[in-house]
Amino acid sequence: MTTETLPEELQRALEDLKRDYEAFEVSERGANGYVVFARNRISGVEVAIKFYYGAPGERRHDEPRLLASIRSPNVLPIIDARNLSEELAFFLTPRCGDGDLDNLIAARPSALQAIDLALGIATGASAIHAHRLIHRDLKPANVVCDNGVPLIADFGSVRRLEEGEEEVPASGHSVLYRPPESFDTGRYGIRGDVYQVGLITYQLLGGSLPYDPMAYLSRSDQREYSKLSGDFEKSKFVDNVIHRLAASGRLMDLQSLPPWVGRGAKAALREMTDPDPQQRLANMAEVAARLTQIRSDMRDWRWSGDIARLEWKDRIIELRPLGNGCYEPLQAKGDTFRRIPGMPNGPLSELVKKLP
Amino acid sequence: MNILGVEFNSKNLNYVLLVSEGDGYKIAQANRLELTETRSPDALRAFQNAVKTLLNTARPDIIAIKDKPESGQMRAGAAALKMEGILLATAECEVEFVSSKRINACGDGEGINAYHQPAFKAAVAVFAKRAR
Repeated sequence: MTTETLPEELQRALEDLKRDYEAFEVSERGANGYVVFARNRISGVEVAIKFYYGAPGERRHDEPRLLASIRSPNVLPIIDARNLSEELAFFLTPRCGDGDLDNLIAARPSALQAIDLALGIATGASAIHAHRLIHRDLKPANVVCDNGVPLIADFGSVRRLEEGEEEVPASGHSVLYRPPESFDTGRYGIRGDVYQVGLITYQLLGGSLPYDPMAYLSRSDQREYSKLSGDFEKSKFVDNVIHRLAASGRLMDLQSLPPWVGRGAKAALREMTDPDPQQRLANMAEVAARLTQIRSDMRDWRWSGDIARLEWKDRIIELRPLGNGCYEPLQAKGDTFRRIPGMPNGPLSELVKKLP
Repeated sequence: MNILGVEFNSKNLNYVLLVSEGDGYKIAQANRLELTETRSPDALRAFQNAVKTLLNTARPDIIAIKDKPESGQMRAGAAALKMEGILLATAECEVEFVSSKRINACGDGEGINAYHQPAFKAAVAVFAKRAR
């Protein structure tokens, strides 16, 4: 996508910015507005320019103001903000080299990297909560990464908790990440953000959460779906299916996690995403506590292609697939890998259990 | 006033958050953070993030830490000292160390695990001192 494809008033704005910035590049991922990357001509710093529209009013500049109010190493900082007209404005943030969390999830982080990323997100969310704000739209696309550090971005759905209140109206965004109680009551509290961090942690650890909503439809759902005609009806039907799965605690498929994600970690994921908010972990401190406990119990396994690999103390272990559902356990000896003595081939889960 | 009582035990940072209510207090949170790998920069950074998260959530006015000697037979272990260092460097509020003698003078808290009692008592000792 080139800058010529942008609306004319944005092109004019970029023309003005050319004095200070160069190398404009339109982001494909600007869901709520337009995002253009650029480089400062003097400092060479790479930035993201987010353009947003809004009717004049008190809340028009909520997103940059809220972003600027929170200082945390895990919340995207804001560099500058400017009005272009009564309806159009933009703000600048650093461009984060690693892209968003979806990029990192696709690259399959190691087990400990996954936990550390989740802890960083919990830290950022706790900084938001400390200001009595609730994010309401935590998902991988709204978390950017810079040198492995996650930064919460996109404050378009953030709401402030009024004095004495513990909930705000639920956001209609991102049905996949909506906590079940927000479907029922239309309300959303801090435990809603905990639920979303739980789902992100599950994805980081390798859990499957397809973005194609049709993937959640059972065969009977698909039959019913095919009878519907209007787009609205179809969309509502799929939302209801996702709600049903979330409400019954079946949105996550814990079987899809790699075998090194043990029982303790699975229990923690269930505690973060419990359909009943009163049974769910209450706040980000509880999330962080559980994550440190998981971290202590977990070895740093990672996928390297289809090989499961562990670097532990001075050992490098690889479990290589044999194509028949079994894996061959090997360990590094000098420049080569040799079989681990006394350990026969076997299914991945059995080998992972036997290893340190 | 929010008082965060902390005790370091082996690889754990046990904590109890007391929130004062009139002349008394209630236990608002109790949990533990773990640090197993004391020589891994990633593990220490992860632990620091957990501490930041705890402090952002608990918003303590004062942190009460059960005092452990840094030398001698009863000295704290490597993990405890590193966890303590991270907590002290991260805290933006007042920190008070509470001696074993003051801790032992406090009664047990109800409804919390045995391993949370020293952290609870550290917080109560500071609460009692401030309430005087």
